[in-house]
Amino acid sequence: MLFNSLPFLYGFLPLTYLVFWRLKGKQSRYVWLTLTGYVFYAFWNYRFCALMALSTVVSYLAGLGLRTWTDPQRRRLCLIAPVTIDLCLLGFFKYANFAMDTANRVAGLLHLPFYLSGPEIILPVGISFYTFHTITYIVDAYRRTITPTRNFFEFSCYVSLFSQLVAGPIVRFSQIERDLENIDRGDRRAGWALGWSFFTIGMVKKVLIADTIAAAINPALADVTTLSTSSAWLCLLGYAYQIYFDFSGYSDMAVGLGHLFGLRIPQNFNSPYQALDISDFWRRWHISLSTCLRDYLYIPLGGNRGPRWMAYRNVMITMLLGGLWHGASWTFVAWGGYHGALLMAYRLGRRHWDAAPALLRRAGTFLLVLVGWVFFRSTSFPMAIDWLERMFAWRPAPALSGASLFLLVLAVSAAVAHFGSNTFAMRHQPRPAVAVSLAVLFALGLLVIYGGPRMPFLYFQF
Amino acid sequence: MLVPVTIGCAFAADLTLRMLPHDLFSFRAWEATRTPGEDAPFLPNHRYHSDRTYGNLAAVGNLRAFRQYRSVTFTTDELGYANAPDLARRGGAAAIVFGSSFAAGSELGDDSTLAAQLARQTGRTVYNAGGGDPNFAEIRWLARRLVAPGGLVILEYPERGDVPFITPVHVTHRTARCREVIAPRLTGVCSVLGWLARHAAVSPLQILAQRGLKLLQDDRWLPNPYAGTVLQARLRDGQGMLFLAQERVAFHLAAPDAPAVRYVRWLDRKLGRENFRVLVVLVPRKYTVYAPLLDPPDPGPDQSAPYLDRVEQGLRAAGIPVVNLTARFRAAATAALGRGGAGGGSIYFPDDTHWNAAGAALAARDIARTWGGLEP
Repeated sequence: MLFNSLPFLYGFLPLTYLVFWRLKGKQSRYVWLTLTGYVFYAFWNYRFCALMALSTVVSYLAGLGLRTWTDPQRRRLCLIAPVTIDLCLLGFFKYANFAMDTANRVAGLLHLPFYLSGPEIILPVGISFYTFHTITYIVDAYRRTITPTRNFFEFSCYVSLFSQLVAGPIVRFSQIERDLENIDRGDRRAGWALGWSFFTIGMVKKVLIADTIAAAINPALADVTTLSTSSAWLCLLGYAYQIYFDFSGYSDMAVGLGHLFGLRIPQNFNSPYQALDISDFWRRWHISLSTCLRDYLYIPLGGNRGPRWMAYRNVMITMLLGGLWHGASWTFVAWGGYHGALLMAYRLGRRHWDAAPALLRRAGTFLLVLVGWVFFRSTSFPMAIDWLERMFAWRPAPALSGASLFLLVLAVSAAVAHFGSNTFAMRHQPRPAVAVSLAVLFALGLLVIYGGPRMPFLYFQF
Repeated sequence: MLVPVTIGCAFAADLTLRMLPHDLFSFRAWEATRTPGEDAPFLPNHRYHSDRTYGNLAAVGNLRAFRQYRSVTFTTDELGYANAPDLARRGGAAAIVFGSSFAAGSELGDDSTLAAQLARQTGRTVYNAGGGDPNFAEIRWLARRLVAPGGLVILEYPERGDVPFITPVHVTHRTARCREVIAPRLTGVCSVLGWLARHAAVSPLQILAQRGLKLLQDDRWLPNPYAGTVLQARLRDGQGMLFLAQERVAFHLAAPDAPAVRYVRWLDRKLGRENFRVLVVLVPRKYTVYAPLLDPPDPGPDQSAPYLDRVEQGLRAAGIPVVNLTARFRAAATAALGRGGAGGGSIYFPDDTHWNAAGAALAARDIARTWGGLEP
């Protein structure tokens, strides 16, 4: 089920909301949110609910162990066992086909006489997100950053919370623990206006901006070899804004839904296209993932400690794995590697970069990020190379034809992304003019949902 | 508060609009009167009229410039087939026509359907049972009820490469299943449930929103994502003509003819035992007819014989009377070249996959001639 779908807006959300606030006890609200999380997930594929349940039970039991035992050996077992299980699930469902395909290609290149084959494995929606939820919980419990909960439904409600289940943000238990503990004391009216404001802005970003851009660029990107230079750049610009408004729109909707249920979900995007350097970009883009990669991968690898080359190595490993997390494809790895290289280059030439005027640094950072999206969007290396070739080798032809609305939306997107304030920085005060504008935009968005094709969020595939 | 109120209003508007007749939101009779999953192909005792219907290809491809507006009246009888209201009650027809949307008369008025034109040309009563996908039990039931003993069962088979009609297994339709579950005599309840199900399945708000969006997807504001499903071509005389892109693909594929021949032979035997004669009418796809007349022409696949010709040979070998319209239609389309105008002289609608009244008349003439030859 998608947030931008009619069954969600007409059925799931009102029912979940009304029953939730009708229930008074903490336990009953945990159970209700768990139940609705599974129903929400089952709309995609009910069979994979068992997978999420398994991950939840294993991590809950490990949490109980970590809460009870002080013996280091047992605690280590409680860390290693569930994390291994989670990573095995993630590895099998997300990367098994990719590994087999890569092995077969290498064997083909080396003329080795073997070919691996297996069933086509379906990638369970959201597995990258909920396994990260459980892993961060276990690691935090092991590090004693949090006290694991005894209440199974509190934990299962945290893992299967529908607002963040399939495409994040990756909310750590410590970030939401207090709200979960006080779930029975929440004030229904407190988050009402803020929740709907976030939700509506997110919906507008997704449905009116990201999907309009997608409608214009997807047909053109179906065959990049036909693009002119200007079209290639326009498509790339379009994609940069599409992915930002799509994913930040989803995150805003998740935050808004959280507020409706008395849960404060942290910020995931902080105007990333206004970043002054590439390091700043990663502090603003998909914040929940980048901080996870920092805290659970980069720092355990050694972080900035040790000789300079080790810090660079750690940056590169983190970014390559971060790229791979996005999808089982070498183009994502290349995207991660590209950003790793940019981060290393920035560290090397930081003094010179920081000395430049702010506007130039912003523009430069955006341009570098922009080029990286070629690898992110391309389904293969030949496509990426063709696209880059079209961008940098002059091919005179008209820009995207028949897309005046796209150009208009692109201009609005650029203005908002580069100069506007993000949803968290806005003042969400229920002024009549703002409320009416939001309602009109929401109604427009509803009409697009009715009339347009079903457009899933881009991050659902990760 | 305004946003949840907007959601509530949209929901209420959606529910309300679903209760209105589909005629108000449909661009042609087919969408307005179809009843998928129910016993009859169309709404029983229904009269649809519009002065602004247009072809399915112009609609599917979102090609407003290609629309050719027509005035169409489409009437159904009590059994839900496109006939005059009293025809089903009278019974005793000399022939009954089963088949696809061609036989039913998609985009044709009441007087121009194949059955209506055949009736005019022969002076006999011909019942139009086209538009459904009937199994043998239904064919037999309709023939027994409506056709005089020894009458003719005309099977219109459009060129599509699969077995005509569905497999001869009994298919339980929605109303029949409902009657089985609730009570045999509670037909009224089942009709209401059918009405509710039909109206719940179609959202006029969705249709209106789609139309609004399609206005923007005109290759000026936004690219038209639907255009690829339709082939825009020109005939040798410069006349514009739309085709389903799939038809061109299918034109170059070699489909096996044996399943169709086997099925019709089986059906012929079964109906023969019921004292009915069978006549098969093979209707070519629009692209098959016009491919040699395109600019540049499409010579077609390198096959020993086109699909419908092979089906025709198979049926003739089995002694089943058959009318293959391919050559006749190609000749008529060639002769019409140069007459130009808005489809002037053509036998298919330029903006639709189906034949027009002239095409149906031509088919009726050939069928009448063959029918005459079958008389003792």
